Amino acid sequence: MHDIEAFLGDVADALPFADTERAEIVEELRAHLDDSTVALQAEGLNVDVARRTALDRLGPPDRLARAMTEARRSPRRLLAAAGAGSWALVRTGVYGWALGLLVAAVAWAVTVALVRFVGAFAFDPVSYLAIGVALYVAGSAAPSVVARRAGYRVESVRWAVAAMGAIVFGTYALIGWSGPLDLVAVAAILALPAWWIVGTLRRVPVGRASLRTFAALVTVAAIVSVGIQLGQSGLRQTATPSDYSVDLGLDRIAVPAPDAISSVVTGEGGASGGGASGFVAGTFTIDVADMVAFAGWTDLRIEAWMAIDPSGVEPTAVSPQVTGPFIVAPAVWGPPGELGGGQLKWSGSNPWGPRAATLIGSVRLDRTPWLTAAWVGFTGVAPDGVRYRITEPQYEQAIFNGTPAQWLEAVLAGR
Amino acid sequence: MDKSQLLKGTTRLLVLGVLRDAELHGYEIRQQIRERSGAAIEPGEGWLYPALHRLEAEGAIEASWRAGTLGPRRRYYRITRAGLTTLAELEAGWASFTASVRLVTTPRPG
Repeated sequence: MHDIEAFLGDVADALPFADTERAEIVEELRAHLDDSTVALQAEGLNVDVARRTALDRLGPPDRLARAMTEARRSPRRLLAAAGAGSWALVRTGVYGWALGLLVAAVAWAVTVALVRFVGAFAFDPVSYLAIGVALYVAGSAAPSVVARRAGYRVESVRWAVAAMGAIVFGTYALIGWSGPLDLVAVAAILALPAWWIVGTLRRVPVGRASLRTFAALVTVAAIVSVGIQLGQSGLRQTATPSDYSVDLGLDRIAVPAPDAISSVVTGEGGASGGGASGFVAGTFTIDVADMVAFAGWTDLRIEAWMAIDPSGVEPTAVSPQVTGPFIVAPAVWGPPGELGGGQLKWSGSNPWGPRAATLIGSVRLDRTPWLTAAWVGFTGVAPDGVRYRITEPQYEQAIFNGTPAQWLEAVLAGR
Repeated sequence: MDKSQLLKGTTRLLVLGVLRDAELHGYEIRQQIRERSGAAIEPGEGWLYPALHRLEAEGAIEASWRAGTLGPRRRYYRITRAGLTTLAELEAGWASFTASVRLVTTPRPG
C-alpha cells in the first residue's frame, strides 16, 4: 500500500460519518490526489515525489478529516440526526418490544412456576419489563445513529443522547402515565429511564439476541421479578381464611347502632364511581324514615378503614395494623331519596313523608398508596357520648389511581 | 508577506467566483483559481475541500458525481441561486474592503 492509500485510510478512520458518506469523501480526495500527482509528474517530478508533494498539499490527514467534519455540520444535518435518532428509537424499539415481550412472557412463566408455593399474584409490571427491554435495545442503537447523522463521534453524543432520553422517559414515568398503581408498578415505571440510560452506555448496539443472551435476560428478569414478588408478599397482609370468615373487625370502626336507629334506616345507597381496577370515588347514602331518631346525635360522618389485602376471597377484615380511618368526611342530611348530587330516587310527591331524609357522604379511595380494600361506613356520636356505626359498612376493593409522581407524593405525605 | 493569511478570508469568494462560470470538480477549481490569478494565488488544498463541503452544506453550491472520460468519476460542483446571491454580497464586501485599504494606504498630498 503506497502513501496515498495510507493517507486516505487515516482520513476515513477519522471521519465520524456513515460508511457511504465516508467512502464518497475518500473517493473525491483520491481523485484529487490522482489529478495532482499526474500534474506534478508533467512538471518533471518522479511519481514518488509527485505523490508525496500532492499529499503534503492536503496537509495532515487528521486535520483534513477534522476540517471536513466541521464543514459538513449544519443545523439541517442536526435536525436530520434528531429525526434519524427518533426513527431508530421506533425501529429498534419495536424490535426491542417484541424481544421484551418474549423475555417478559418467559420470565412470567418462570416466575409463576417459582412462586406458586408462595401464592397466586398478579404480575402487573410485565408490560413495563417489556417496555424497559425495548428502551434498552433502542438506547443501545441511538448514539451511533445520531452520531453518524450529525457528524460527531459516538462518544461525543452518547451522554447527550442518554440525558435527552432520560428526560423524556423520566418525565413520562413521573407524570405522563396515569392509572392504577402499586409499589411494583411504580418501581417498574420509574425504572424506564434507567433502562434507556444503561442501553445508551452499551458500546455495541443490541443485535439479534443469541440464545445465551436471551437466556441470561430471562434469568435476570425472573430473579428480579421473583425478588419483587417475594418482597412485596412480605409487605402485604395477605388474607387468611379467618380474615374473611370469622370476624371482620367492624366493631373496631364503631359499635353497632342501637335498635332505635336501625329501625328507622330503610335502605342504603351503594357507591358509584367504580373503576376497572377497583373503587375510585363516590357518594354513599343512607335512607332514614324518621330523622327525629337522630335528635341529639353529633359528628355524623363517613369513614374509610383499610382492610386486609384480599387474596381471592372477600370481604376481608379491617386491618389489625391500623388504629383509625384513613379517610374521614362529614356526612350531611339531604332530601329523602337523594342519590347524591341533588338527584332523587323519586319524582312527584315524597313517598316517605316529611320526616324522612337521606344521610349523604362522599369518599375518594384512589389516592391512598398501599390500599387494596377498604370498609366504608357512616358513624355518629349518640347523646350517650358513644360513637356508633349507623349501618353496616360497605366493602370496597381499591387501588391507587394516578401518576407515579402523585403516588410518591402521597407516600411522602404518609397517606 | 504570507499570502495564505490574506487568502483565508477570501476562500468562499474565490471558489464561488470560478464556479459562476462553469461546473468544476475540486482539482479544476484549484487550477482555475491558480490560472486566473496568473499563479499569484496558489490555493492550499487542505482548505479547498472543507470549503467546498461547507458551501454545499450552506446551499451555496450543489454537487453531483460524473464519470470521468479516462480516470475515475469526479464530484462536480455547481453554484446555486443562493450561491450567486452570496457571491454578489462577498464581491461587494471585498470591493468595499479593498477600497478602504486603498484609502488608508494612499499617501496624503503635502
